[in-house]
Amino acid sequence: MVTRHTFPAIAEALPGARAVTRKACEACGCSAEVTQDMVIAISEACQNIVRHAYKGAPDGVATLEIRCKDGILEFFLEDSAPPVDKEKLKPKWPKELKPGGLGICLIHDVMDEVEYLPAPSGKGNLLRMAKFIERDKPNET
Amino acid sequence: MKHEIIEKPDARVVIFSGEIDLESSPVAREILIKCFQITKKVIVDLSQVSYIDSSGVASLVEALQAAKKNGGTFALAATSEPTRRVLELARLDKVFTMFDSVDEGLAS
Repeated sequence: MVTRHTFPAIAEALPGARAVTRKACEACGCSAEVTQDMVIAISEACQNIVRHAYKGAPDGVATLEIRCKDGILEFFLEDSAPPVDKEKLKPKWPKELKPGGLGICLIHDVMDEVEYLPAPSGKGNLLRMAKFIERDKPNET
Repeated sequence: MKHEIIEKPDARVVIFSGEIDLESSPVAREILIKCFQITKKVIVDLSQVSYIDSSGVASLVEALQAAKKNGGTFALAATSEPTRRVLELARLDKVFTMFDSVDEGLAS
């Protein structure tokens, strides 16, 4: 199963990306808990595109592709923004209480794999996130 | 996101509902910070919040910091399951004071 969703990189488009993610996870047979976590992670990744890749510019576009095969749920999130500094995309839990900086940490917390790939078009950013959903299912006896 | 503010003798109860995300979190932040200009105790009812993202959590963190700075009290009440999950993932569920109900928060 492949789901593809292209959306404007603006805050108003994030509920749509969450709805597409939720629907794809449910169609893929994810539990309610995994679905909830995937929605959290994808929403944070989309938010990062809006805030940090396009820096709030209103004309940016992003594409979310969701693939479900052989118990692996893969998310590919691509934009055409200037390349983001990969160093800033590493999870760094804040040492003291402060607003912000949590999105990347949440993504890494719930996903099994997170990697930044070369964008196929040669410009922009491509983020791959994967969740091994079969592994997380309880053993049947 | 929708909100309602209930005035109590020594506190304000802010009831949020719907989604607190990148679009609405600046409004949530402003509401909470303004409450602390009026009272020293703010209880946020999160029972009707269906989704909160990191920007919404940041608004709550800013309100907590405003409370600490001014010797006030900031607490969350009746936290919905989706909200609780995000706070857990953000490792903030032990940072906020949380009550099972608004009444419990007001009585504290």
